[in-house]
Amino acid sequence: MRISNYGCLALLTGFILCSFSTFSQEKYGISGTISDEQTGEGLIGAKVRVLELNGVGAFANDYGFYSLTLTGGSYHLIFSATGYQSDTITVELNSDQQLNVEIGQPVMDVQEVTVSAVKKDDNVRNAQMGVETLDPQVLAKVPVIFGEKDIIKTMQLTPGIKSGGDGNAGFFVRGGSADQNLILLDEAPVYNASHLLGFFSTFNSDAIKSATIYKGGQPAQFGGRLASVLDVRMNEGNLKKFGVSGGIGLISSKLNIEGPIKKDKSSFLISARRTYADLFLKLSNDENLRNSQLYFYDLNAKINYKIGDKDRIYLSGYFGRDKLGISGFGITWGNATGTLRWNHILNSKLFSNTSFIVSNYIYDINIKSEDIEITIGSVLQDYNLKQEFQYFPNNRNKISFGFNAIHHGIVPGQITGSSDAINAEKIPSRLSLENAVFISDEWTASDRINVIYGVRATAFSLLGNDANMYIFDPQGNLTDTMRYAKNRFVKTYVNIEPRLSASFRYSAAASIKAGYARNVQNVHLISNSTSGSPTDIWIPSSLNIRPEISDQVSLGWFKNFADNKYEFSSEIYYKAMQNQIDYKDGANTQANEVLEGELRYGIGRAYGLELYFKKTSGKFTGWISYTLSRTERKINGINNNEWYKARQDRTHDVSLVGIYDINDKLTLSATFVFYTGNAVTFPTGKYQLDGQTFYVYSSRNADRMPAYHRSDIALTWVTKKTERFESSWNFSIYNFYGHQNPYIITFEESETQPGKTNAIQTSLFRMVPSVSYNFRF
Amino acid sequence: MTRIISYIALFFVLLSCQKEIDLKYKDADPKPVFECMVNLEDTIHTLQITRSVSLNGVYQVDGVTGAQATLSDDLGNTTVFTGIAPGLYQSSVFHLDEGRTYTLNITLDGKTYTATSVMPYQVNLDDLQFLPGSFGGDSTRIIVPLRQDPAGVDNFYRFKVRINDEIDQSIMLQSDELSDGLLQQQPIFGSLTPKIGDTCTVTMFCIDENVYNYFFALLQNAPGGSATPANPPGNFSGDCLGYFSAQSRQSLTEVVE
Repeated sequence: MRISNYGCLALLTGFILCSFSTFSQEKYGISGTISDEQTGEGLIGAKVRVLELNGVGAFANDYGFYSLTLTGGSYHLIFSATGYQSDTITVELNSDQQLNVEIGQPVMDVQEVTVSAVKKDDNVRNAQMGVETLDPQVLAKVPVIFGEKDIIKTMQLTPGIKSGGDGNAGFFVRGGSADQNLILLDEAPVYNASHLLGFFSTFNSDAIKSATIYKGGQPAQFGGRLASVLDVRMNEGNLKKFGVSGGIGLISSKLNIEGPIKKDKSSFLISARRTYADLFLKLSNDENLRNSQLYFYDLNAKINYKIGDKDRIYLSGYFGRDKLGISGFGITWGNATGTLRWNHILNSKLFSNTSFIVSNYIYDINIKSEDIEITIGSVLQDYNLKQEFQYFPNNRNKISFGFNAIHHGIVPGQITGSSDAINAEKIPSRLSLENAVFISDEWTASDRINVIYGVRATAFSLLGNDANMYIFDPQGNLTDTMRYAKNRFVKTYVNIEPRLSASFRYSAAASIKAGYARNVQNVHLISNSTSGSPTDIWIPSSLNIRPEISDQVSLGWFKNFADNKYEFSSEIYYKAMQNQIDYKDGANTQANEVLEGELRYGIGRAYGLELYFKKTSGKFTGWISYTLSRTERKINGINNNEWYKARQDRTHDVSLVGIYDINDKLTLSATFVFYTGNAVTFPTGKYQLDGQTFYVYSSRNADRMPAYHRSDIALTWVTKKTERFESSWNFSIYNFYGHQNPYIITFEESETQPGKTNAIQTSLFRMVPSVSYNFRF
Repeated sequence: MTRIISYIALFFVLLSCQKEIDLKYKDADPKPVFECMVNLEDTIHTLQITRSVSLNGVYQVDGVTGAQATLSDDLGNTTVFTGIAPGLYQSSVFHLDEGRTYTLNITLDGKTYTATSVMPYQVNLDDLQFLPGSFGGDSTRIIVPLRQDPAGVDNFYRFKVRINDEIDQSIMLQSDELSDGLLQQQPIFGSLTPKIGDTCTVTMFCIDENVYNYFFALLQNAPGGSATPANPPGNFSGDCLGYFSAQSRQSLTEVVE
């Protein structure tokens, strides 16, 4: 599948330009924003359609902006969004026009109101495949550990997205490793999306407006990771009135305040969360544990300001820190992000968004004894400028184009000491520049055919940093040492990433979709721990590490039944990966200067089948998802250069989710998950050195952890719900039948039977009940 | 880093539970295991040869007999090992020197295995320091083996600790990667914790880089370490396990205070 990169780019650009059939009839643009009547929040993905013209309509973008082009005349425009009552507005169109619309959620007593007349067959019509959007209403009801609703944990219940297991917030998409997911919070990359070693994700769901995950076939606006993009958007803050909401739980509490600064013009939102898990440690008998710290907090804040009808500015930020401290030893880690965005409507057909983003991830390890204090610190800092234009030439095309420039600075494991015991060596930042241009068209080719096609071109440049750069041969032997002046271009990798996704609706409620996407990744997380650790190291592509590349083809069948009450989809995919990275056997993974000599490179492949059956309306809703898959790697110097299973390879993965609304006040929900154990390496023999037993290992990842299964249940009880005050209790039990799932398996000699080796399984959670109280006024 | 992970694991211990499970073990063919440490201070050297067994197998008590082994230096001197007990071989008098490269050649069952190791220049173990410990109360101590590291050379150290009559089986390693040319004062952590009044013996071996890497990799296979355990890269050629180390040995015994 080798197409000349530039030829492909030229061809595509030409195609995009040709595909706007222009007629010289009098046409006018009508555009504006669609927002929530109660809060003023822009409604992402809200829909406008024209009553008089069957099949003509548009979706609102990530800021609630829509644009339609119609011949002059009188129309009824129907505005709608999932969960909202639709609103019909009559327009007389004889010039370009701006129309901002607010629609409302249905009033109390939802039961009998049929919510909106939106066709719920977007899953069938939309060309995009391998995409999952999380409905906040579902999020609130799905049971999760410690009762803390969690976007990432709930996403893992859908096909193709696999959980890292207990105590691991990492997730695996279509065979990709955890670092191959691009996690964006208001466009800012979040480098470690877990709190407390994976029990919570960094997203405080109270501050989140929407979350969409693309499983590798993302449109060209997105890039930088092989496996997926999780695009999370924060709420903007209520433009109409002040509101306070919060929750008190067993191990965490949170508070959310939002309101207008100037009504309908500007608003703010502040959301904070703090856990107090370490209070439980006070109950311990061990003095050291009693005096230890273990908590996290995070803060989301956002303000936005409308300057006239055409401009809006958003400033949003996230700050989170985890702290773990046990006598003399402490580790702190966390993300901080800031995004400044400017929306500008150039005209009814052209929308612009400019974002300036700062992302920061740090960890600090602190070791203190009587007279020695050593700190190992790591910083990753990105400055990111993104410009995106959305051009709506007609009702059949929506074109996005723009550029993205990111400056990465990474300090991996800087060691400093307070004493003269170590040579405090200043390790300079590894510097790099990642530039990309993209163009993508969402094209409604006919009533039956939808296509999203585009291309992204990336140029990744390694910059000099006044420090030694080491070059290794494939066996990991040092062959050369180079030194370049700061910010001098050392090496540039250019890649062209074509993307295509198309759907063909062959009957009213059924379609076939196909897609191809190439993705390139230039920052890599080097991890060798069992469950991922905050101290794993991110490194950029370098003179040794080449950009990771994946090519994914996928094919899907989508069908809705019973007036779209039931949705069914099946997708198959095959993904080939180049320049994959792994540690050599017995690598020294400590942050050392010549770390790259410990790495080995090779290829990967992943393929699978995903089935998804969902009931979307009625008192009982929920879904079943099943994934059958295989993920393998072939790395030089590992496993005798033969294919081996990647750690995240799982043959079967099943999730069941059921939500039952008993009445207005009570909702019962349950989930069940089952999956094949991860691929691991167990010993195949033992021997003694100096009287001590060690184990013999054969092929890498040739064994399996025992299968994992678990069921969680939750009951949500709304105690009060009025216009002014809302309160509810949430009771949940994680792993309610107490199955002991393996976290790690270790081997030891039996003390009673000579010669026998015992396999000891450690499980994290047998059963975790929790209760939380949530309120809003 | 392994240590950090194990600290993190401490929290998990509070919530976790353990049980023995039934796993069907795969069994690899037995491999020969060679263990040979030649110390600068010694003139007669020993070599131990055993075989690996299956996970539920019992170690052979009688070791491996019938091997031919020679030890030679880069000046052309050679000594031959002779079997003195099942699995145990001994050389005749053979003097070792700092900076020399030594080669161990073993022929077993028609196959030849070769390893080389460089005798490091010895660094003197000057003193033992006992610092107040952070785990387990006020009377516990942390051991710091003090020595002046020579600048400009990479040095690698392995330690063994005996507290009263108990030997600590942990693998304890240090290198001067971050402290080249400085007074070495990093503590060593094993599985035994000395208390005030205990008699503590610390043996320090100066080892070469390959041997350090071998033990380092062995350590990575410990629970909570690498997600991909593998046989450590030994310095022997051929399909076998074990290592050959030319090293120097020094011990200090002190009462913990």
